[in-house]
Parts: sequence; C-alpha cells; structure tokens
Amino acid sequence: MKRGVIACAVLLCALPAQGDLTTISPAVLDALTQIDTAPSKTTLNSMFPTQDAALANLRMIALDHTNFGVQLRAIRALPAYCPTLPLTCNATVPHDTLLVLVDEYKRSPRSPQDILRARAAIEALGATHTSLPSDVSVLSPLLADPSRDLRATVAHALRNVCSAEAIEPLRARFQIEPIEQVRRVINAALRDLRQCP
Amino acid sequence: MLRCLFTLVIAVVAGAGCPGGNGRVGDACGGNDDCADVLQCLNRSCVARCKQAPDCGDGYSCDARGLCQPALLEQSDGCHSEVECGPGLTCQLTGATDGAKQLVAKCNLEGPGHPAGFECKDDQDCHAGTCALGHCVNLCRPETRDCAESERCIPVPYPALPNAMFPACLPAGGAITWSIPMNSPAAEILLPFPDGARSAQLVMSVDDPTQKVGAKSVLSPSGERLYRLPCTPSTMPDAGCNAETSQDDYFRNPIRHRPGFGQSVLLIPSGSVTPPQPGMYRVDVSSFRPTDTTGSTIPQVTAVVQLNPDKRMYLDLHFFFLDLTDHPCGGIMDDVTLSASTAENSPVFKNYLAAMRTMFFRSFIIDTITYDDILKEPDLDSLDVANVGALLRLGKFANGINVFFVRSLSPIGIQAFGPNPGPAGVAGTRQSGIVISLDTLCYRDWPVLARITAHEMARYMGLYHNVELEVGQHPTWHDQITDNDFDDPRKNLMFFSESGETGLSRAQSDLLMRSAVLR
Repeated sequence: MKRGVIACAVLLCALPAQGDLTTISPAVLDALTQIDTAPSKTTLNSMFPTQDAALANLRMIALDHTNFGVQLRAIRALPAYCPTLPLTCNATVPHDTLLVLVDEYKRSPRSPQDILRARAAIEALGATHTSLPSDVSVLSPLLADPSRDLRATVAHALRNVCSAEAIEPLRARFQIEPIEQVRRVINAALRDLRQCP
Repeated sequence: MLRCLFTLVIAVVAGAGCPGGNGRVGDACGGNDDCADVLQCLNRSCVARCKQAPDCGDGYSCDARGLCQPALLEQSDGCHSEVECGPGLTCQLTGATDGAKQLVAKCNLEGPGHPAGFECKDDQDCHAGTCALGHCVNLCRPETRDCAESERCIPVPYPALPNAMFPACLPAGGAITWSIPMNSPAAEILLPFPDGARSAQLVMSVDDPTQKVGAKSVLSPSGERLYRLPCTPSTMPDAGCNAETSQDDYFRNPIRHRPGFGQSVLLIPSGSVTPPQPGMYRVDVSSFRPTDTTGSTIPQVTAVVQLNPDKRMYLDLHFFFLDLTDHPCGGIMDDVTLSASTAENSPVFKNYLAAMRTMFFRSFIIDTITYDDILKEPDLDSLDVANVGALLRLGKFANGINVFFVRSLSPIGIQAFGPNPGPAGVAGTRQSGIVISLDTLCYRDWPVLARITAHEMARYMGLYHNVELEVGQHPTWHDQITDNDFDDPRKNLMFFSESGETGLSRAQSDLLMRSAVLR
C-alpha cells in the first residue's frame, strides 16, 4: 500500500502541474460542458495531439477547482483512459488521480460542491473496475458519510469495483442504513458482489 | 272595410308562408317560412338552422343558408360526400379512379361497423366503409358544411393507391393517434400524411429490451428515399463502416432516425430542409439484434399525426418530483425541499417557468402546469441515464411533456436527459418524458436550469443540436434548419453546451409548432 502511494506521488509529479483553465481550448471546454452527453474518449483524444496529452490535460482539469462543472466532467471522463483488459487500472494516472480526489474530500468542509465532486470521483473510481481490496478500503469508510447521496454513490461504486472484500462493510452498513434509496443500492451491490473475486 | 281587407291580406300572407313566419322551435310547420328567421322547417317541425350537416341527421346536407337539404342520391350513384347519399346509404370509395385520376365513390348500403370517429383496422370495421388514420371517417367535400363542427374536411392518402388522396372529416385540431399492427419482426408499413398536417411520427417498441427497434428505410410519397439505416461498424467492417461513417450516414439522411433498444421514434419532418409532403410514406420497420441484423420480436407501432392548423398552440408541462429530501442543493429556498407543493407555491419555481415561457413565446404558450410527487420509488431517486426508461414509464400524461426532477443522473455531470425526439402524444412508454438532475443546482442557478430544461424539451419535440461537438472535423454534423446562424451557434437554445444561449430561429420555431405534444 505504502509503495503504491509513493508510486502514485511520483507519477503525479511527473505530469503537468495544476493550472488555471485559461489554457484550455474552447473546444475542450465545450466537450466538458455538454448538457446531455458525457464526452467520449475518441472525442477528447481528437482535441489533443496524442492520447497521453489528452489524459494529462484531463488530469489537470480534474484537479483544478476553477470551473466546477468542467471539473466534474473531467473527473468522470478519467476511467475511459484505464488500460483495456487484461491490464488493470491499478497505479495508472486515472486511478491515482481519482484516489487523490477522494482523499481530498475527507479533508474538506463537505460543502455541497465538495460532496458532488467526491461523488463524481467515487463513481469514476468504481468505473475503473479494479477489483482492488485497497479501493474497497478507501471507499468503505465513506458508507458512514452524512450525505445519503454520497453513501448511495459509494455503495454503487463498491459494486462496480467488484471485490468480495466489500461485502462485509456493505452488510454492516445495511444493518443500520435508514434511507430506503441507499438500502436498495446496498442490496443490489451485495447481490452482484457474490460473483466478484 | 279597409281594416277587414288588411286582416285578410295578413291571413293570406301567413297562410302562404311568406318570409318572416313566427313559428318557434317545436311548432308545426309546412315550410321554412312558417318558422322564425333563425329557424327552418324540418320534418314538419320548426328547428334551429344547421351549422353543419350532422345537425340535420342522416340523409341531409347543410347548405350555405343553414338549411338542411335532403340527399337525393340513391344506391350505386356516384358521390363525393357522405351527405349526398340518402338515408341508410353511405358514400364509399370503390378503389377505382376516374379519367382525372380522382378516386371514385358511390352510394352504398351502410355496413354494421363503428360510426365515424371510432378506431378501426380496415374499411370493414366502419359503418361508412372507410378507415383512415386508424379511425372510421366520412367522405366530404372541402369548403362545405359536410363535417361536424369539431372537424375539418382534409385530403388524406388512400392506402390502396398511395398517391391518391380523398377528402375525409377529421378532427380540426390536435393529434390523432392509432396503432398499426405488424405480424412479423420486419415489414413495410404505410404512414399517411394528410394534406395540411403538421407532423407525423411512428413510435416503435419491442417487449424485449435487449433488442433494438426502428426503421430500416423511409420512402417519401413521391418515392424519394429519405432515410436509410446508418451502417453498423460491428457488422460491416469490410464495407468501411466505422463510428464516424455511421454518424455521417445518420446526419446525411433527410429524416433523422436511429433504432433504439426497446423503443425509438421516427418523426417527420426532421428540419426545414426537407418539408413534409402530403401522401403516403412507406416505412420499413424492424426489430434488430444488437448487431443490427433483423431481430426476432414483433414491433408494436403507434402512429401520431398532428393536425393542428396554423394558430396559437399550447403546451402543458407535468412536473414530477422524486424524493429530493436532504439533497445538498435541493432547497428551493432556505431549508425547503423541492416537491410538488413547494414548487407550486415558490417564487423561484415561478421564475423558472417564466424564463421558459419567454424562450418559447414565438412558438407556443406554456399553459397548464401540473405537479406530482413520486415518493415511493426509491430506486429511481438517482439513476443512470441507461436506465431512465423505468422512470419515464411513469410519464402518465399523453398531452404535453412529463418533466421528472431526480436527485442525480449518472454519469455525474449529465444535467438532463431525454429522448430525441420523444414519443409525443403517447404516455407511459420508456421514453415518455425528460429528466432533470438536481445536482446541477450545486453549481448552476435556476435560470441556467431553465435553459437546460428548455433545451431538453425542444429535443423531445423534434429539434436537434444545432451543431455537434465534432462539427469542426465533420462539417455536416449539424441540424437540418435552413436559417440557423452557424457563425455563432452558441447563441442558440439547441447548442449542446450549458454555456449556450436561448435563441431560436424562425424555422426552429416552426418545427416546434409542428410537435404533437402541443394542443
């Protein structure tokens, strides 16, 4: 785990630093402010010279708090840059950037925007489908978050991460969860997690 | 002596039935002159003058003076209108045409079927022997009083001879909806487009949500191909089909359509570049497997034709609120959760509605607003856009647009979602409405949400993004509107980004006014 964090830090330091959004082209801004569509990887790649450049810029936007709406879509676009199977997303730029954002939430004042940003990162982390017990460890404590929306997002993300390690914390939360919406998501996750490693 | 003579003249005039009789409704009469000016003598009794032929009963027409005239035509006589044939007879098309290529009709005995206005599958279902647009109709003469007051005499295409039209009494306004039966997974169906109709659409659905349904091809009444199924990258790799060429096909078609899982809608027209033609459109409808090969389920097809003439149109909005309690951005004012009751009484929500009214004022008036809570569907409080069908099925209003406020849409960042176009005039389907995510209020205000809602409503009604995100690389990827200002597409309501403005061109406004969601 510790080695992973160090690797992550090294990797993130090697990438472009956070910058303000004045450097983002209008086309990229348009892609990340669509009303009813999530930007595809193909579309985003076409806006940069290389796929690596596209990912580096997305990471920068995902960590930048200048334009919240743009940041949300950039966060949510990151899992599309995970390597395809049989490789995993573990210790990649998208995965590690999402871990940074989830960690950031734990230290935030939990404003409405903090909650929504964290939910985008958590949902995206689930979409990396890593099956990593370490991802379960990051997400499970958030099942006790005061926000019912965040708890529902976490339960759904744990289902998508797909590690049997998530069964126990989800069961425990189900025993005390008062909100029916969240209970339903936990129930669905517990049902599907039986198939996971 | 003089007074006696005067009395005699009056008596003679009255007896002769000169104009100005004073018979009241129900009084016995021998002619129209026995009745007051506003009345007529019908079946030896003074009755109100007719406005339309149906006021007179079977076997009469109503002339320009408002007098019922007995029908004189007998069985097998040529006719043009139901009102020309005597009692017990009906004016029926023979299926033949005359020298001027006009459909021939003759007076024939009435059948046992339904009266005009009832749903039908074929001519035999109807008392008057004519089934058009899924309803029994009476033949009529244009510009006369042959039809009921709520109807107009409109030329409609004849199914057996698709290029021939015949005038029939149809509802004067609003949409007419009917089912078109299919007996196999793929078949050609006929979609009639009456003269003067504003739009026509097919709502196609299959019970198996793993299969797609939609149109394979569309031919116009003049035989021009207006739509061909876009190529499928997965099944035609050798034919040079990839995601981009498939999109090219989609944008090249004069009628824009793509089959969808479970349900799809084909709407005519798709823009102002190819105006609709009166006549019979031929549509190849099919179910499809995910690879776009022909499917195994039989599609259910509903047709909707909007008949409204050019006049002021109204849109009803039906708001549904899922359980939005404790949403971090769901307060419509301090500590008050957005719900049916709070929205109805909230100045914030009223301003939101007012903003949308302003955006659409050139096209229609947003009229009746209804408010409902949906508090017992916790699975739907937040949902993935791939699963919105379960929510939209709760859209119970066929007229207007069902608008659902949910806590959140996934992937997070999507602010609203809806079918494009939607099944206007058809309630309770997996596409019967649009969804708005309350998450948006965490970083955008209500005026922006009004523009987002209006954008999705317009997509439901048949407008498309004025330009697509990729229009720089693909210059043809834009809508089919002739008067759009492509120099600054951002000013338009249909610009795909939340940073767009609220402009609508004249052609876009006209297209909105064609939608069957309006009344």
